[in-house]
Amino acid sequence: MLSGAAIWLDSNGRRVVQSGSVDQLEGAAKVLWQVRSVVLSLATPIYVIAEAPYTLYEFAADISTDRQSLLQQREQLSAKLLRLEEGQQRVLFLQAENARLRQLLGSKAQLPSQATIAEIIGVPPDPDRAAVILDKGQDDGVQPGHAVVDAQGLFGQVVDVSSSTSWVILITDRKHAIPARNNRTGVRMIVGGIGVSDRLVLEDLPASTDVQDGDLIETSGLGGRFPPGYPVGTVASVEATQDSPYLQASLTPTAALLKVGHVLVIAPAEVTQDIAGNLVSETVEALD
Amino acid sequence: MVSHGPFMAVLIILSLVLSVFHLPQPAPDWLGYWRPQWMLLALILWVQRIPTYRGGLFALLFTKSASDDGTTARRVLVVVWLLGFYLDTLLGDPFGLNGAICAAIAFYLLRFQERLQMQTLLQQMIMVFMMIFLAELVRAYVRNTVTGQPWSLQPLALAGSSMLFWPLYVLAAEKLLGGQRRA
Repeated sequence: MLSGAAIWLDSNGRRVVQSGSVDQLEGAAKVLWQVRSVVLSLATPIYVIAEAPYTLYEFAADISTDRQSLLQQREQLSAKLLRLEEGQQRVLFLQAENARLRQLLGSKAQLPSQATIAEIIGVPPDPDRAAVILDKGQDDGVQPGHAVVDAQGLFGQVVDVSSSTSWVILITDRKHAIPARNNRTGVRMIVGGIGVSDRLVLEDLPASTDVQDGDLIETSGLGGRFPPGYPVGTVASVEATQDSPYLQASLTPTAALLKVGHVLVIAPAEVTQDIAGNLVSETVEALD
Repeated sequence: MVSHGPFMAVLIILSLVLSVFHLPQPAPDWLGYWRPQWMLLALILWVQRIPTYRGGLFALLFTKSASDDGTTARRVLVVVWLLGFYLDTLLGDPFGLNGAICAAIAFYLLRFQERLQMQTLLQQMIMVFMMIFLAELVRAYVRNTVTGQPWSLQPLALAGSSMLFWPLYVLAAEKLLGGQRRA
């Protein structure tokens, strides 16, 4: 069973790991992180060279694509864009309504998150570690602790940055855990990685919890690390045993964790009360 | 006298690339456990050959003169430790872990260099197995402490595959070094 350990970053950006003392010692010496950041920049070319065969293969596949399939792809993308634009109009309306209701209730409004598009340039070969290296770093505003998502859902979080690259651990890494909720019932839970690329587990879930196969689990936003509402996975199996007070539940991640391509790095949204009015007017303007 | 420095530098860079080269996605996860420790193999080969260097950057760093009183060994250990820092970042290990492992291996090789040079290929393979097994045992212990990674037979698998690759690795290196055998 998992230890429930996770990487947390304090206000100074230092890493604190719940289950280990070595990383705490390392985190205490901030200077080591600066050294590590510089060395990470020097390590990038090695990863780029190691990734070159795959990059070349993709390049060859791209240039050998015929006109017919490109036209077909274009049609599919146009249809997809139309559907997304239609959905976007509804989102803007709901966003304005949400901000207005929050203002009426006097609750804090959330600033929209800032996203940076990044490309995966390396994959560490260690089978016991789920991580990738991105081509964006401190110079692009990426910081340790930023969430990473792909088109389907939550991907991981940034743990190390250099000036031009960043190291991301995936949600399936055994030392990763996510505060989440059930999209159907709203019940809070913790989703943990077990080191298997297509499997996540719901940790310490009481046997009385209402959770079913096919439920969508999304980020809850608790802890402030991951923005709320991003899909994490769908429940693949739920088992209750006589001798345990907890459910044994597993998830299938929604994100395409094994594919190499582009992802979004998301800075945590700031929370403030003053901007609620501005957000309402800005969203209404966007709707107009 | 032939300078092997640039060739050895190429070998080390190739080993670094092989260390981070990942298998294509359909490959099963267990195959990753049998990946030879290319960087440790390069380190063993390099440190064993240090006294033969003449000329070039490496020779400048490691030339052994008649009045050498341990300077070479100290320089080697410093360079190996720095290489370990680089490996830490490359592999995402805690800072200092690979430095300590590489420095310990380099120290052993330097300390018993003359004796080790008399070994047959089979004896060398056993030595490679023991060194990499112990190194991986230390790595597994640190990872278990830091990340809670459970113990497995990975150190044995890595040491075993590295041992089996050692003759091929030496042969390839001999070719790369222009057929120059160790002194």
